[in-house]
Amino acid sequence: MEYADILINVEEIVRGVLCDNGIKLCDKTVAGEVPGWDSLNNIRIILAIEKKFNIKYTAEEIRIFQNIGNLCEIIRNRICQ
Amino acid sequence: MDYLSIYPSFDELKLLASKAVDPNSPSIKISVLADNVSGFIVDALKGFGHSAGCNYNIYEAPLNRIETEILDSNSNLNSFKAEYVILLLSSQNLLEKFSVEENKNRISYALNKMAEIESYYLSINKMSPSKFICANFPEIDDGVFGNYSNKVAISFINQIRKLNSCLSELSQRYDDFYILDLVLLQNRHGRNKLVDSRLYANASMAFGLEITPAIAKQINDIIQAIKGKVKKCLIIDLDNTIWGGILAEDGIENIQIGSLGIGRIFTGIQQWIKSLIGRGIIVAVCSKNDEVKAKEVFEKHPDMILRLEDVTVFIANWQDKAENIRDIQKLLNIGLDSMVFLDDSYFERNLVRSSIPDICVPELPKEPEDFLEYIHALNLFETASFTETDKSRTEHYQQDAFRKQLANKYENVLDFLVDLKMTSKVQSFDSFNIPRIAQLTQRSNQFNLRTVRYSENDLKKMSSSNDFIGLCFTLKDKFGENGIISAVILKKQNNVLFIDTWVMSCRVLQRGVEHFVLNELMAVARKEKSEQLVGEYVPTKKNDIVKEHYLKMGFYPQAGFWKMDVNRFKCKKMFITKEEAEMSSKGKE
Repeated sequence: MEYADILINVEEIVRGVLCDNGIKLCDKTVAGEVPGWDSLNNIRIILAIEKKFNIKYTAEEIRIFQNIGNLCEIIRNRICQ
Repeated sequence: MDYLSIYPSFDELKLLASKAVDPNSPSIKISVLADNVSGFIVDALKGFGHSAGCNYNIYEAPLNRIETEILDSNSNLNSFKAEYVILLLSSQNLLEKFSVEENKNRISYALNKMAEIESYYLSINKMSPSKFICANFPEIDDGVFGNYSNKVAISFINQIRKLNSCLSELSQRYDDFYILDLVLLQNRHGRNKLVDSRLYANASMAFGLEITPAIAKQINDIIQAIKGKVKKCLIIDLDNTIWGGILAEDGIENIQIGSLGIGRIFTGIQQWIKSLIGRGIIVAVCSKNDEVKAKEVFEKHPDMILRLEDVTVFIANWQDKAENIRDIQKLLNIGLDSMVFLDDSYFERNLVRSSIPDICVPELPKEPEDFLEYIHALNLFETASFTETDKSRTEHYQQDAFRKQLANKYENVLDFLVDLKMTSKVQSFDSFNIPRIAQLTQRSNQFNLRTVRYSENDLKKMSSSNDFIGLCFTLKDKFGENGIISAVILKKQNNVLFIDTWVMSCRVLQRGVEHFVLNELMAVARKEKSEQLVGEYVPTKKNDIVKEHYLKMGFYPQAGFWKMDVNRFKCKKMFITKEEAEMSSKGKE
């Protein structure tokens, strides 16, 4: 899958969980910047991403996830394995 | 089979939870105390409440502030005064604390923990009475002793099992102490589905997200059962549902029950149904079969567990099952939503479901060996009471059938009533009858003037208070003893008596019981030197039949209430004689 496609899919998931179709994500977006993206919704987003792409994050990855770019990079690496 | 798929997803529940609350739906206050992050369980529970037509107003105490919230009389918990308090302590925390205990403390770990939880319950109840729902502890294998854990009292495995057993005892000791059985959930779904160690490490979540609907449903099931929403009747198909094969084609010798073919599976299903009957569930048969041949199986087949006397209504014909089920409902006079219909046929299930949306029709799995596990996972038969009356409920309903047959023989209703030779025993509340009275207040939906639900504890408090007078009434006739079929709670208010509760079992309608009861209430009013009896009708979806009750009894309406002056009361003719006047004083709590 192309990186751009991954980003679009992640954006759709985030919009769904946060109930806000106006959210736009880019590489550098950090969870704390997005309204409504609190720790509980963070869990929902991560689990929804796992389901969508059929991948699994590790506990450490969940802990240190820094920004969207980082998140998508992990997805791309997993899918390619 | 993936049993998690029987629950709505978390996302669906969250969506329901966020919908606007219907101002007419009852609001129920719930408090949650936890040593783990419970936000998702709370959201899922709100969603279930919404689909049950209830607005769950939930206060979540801050994480790990259990003791401070309980002990501080000004805490949010104590100001909120919830009707239900839920305690969620995690097994993970239990193990962490256990691990740092010295051996000499480990041996009493379970008992100490039980004492701690008991003190929480007592403190909370002292501040404001509520129903206490305590989660039990799914086992963690700490991997220290292997099978040998069982031989060592200080092993964690031994202590956690002992603790769960202690919690059961607490729930038996205290009427308002309920167990949220997470051990059952782990058994059904497996620890992998119950726990996500990444989420525990990162977010203090004791349970994975996917299992939260299951946990929330268990809580919702308990609350709804306490509110009286219970299943009362199981309607069963016959062919390939309680025996293997088709009777009309295979003949009575070839249907599979017991050791024939896969009969053992169906024997298991029948044994489960038999246990349900012992618990007070009514069973009806609704089958497309010849009635005589179908009944013959119940009478003659040596391997049948269920017999004719276990079946309250037996319908076997070639007509439309939805119509048959409506007939069953009319005969039993219980709500359609208190009935469950089991049928292996996809066609019949769909027909009944679309024709009677209120009835519960489980979408059974294809293979009969999977039926029971699936049905158990749905937890259809949650209850909030179990009394002696439950054990003989089938017998009672069958006696009703005889009464109905007799009634049909009389042209004049009055002659029928005289011929029944009815008598009634009037009693005040005591420790023997309180369980049955509590059950009546919880389960009666139709003949229920104000639909206030009371637990045994509530009734014990009222019966020992000078502000309340409780009366219950039995009914016996020439066919049998019905037991306690009506209860009234009067509240003393200055010089009037307010009728806080008036319930009656629907099985004894149109016999004049209400007039007998009113007569007794008047006698109480005279004894108390009250001037008036005041009643109130609170309309619900199900109690339409008592809309005109007070009018018919001769009360007059005033300011939203119904009133009867004691000195104006004229006793109506009735056909029930009072048994030896017994205002019971035994066991007054």
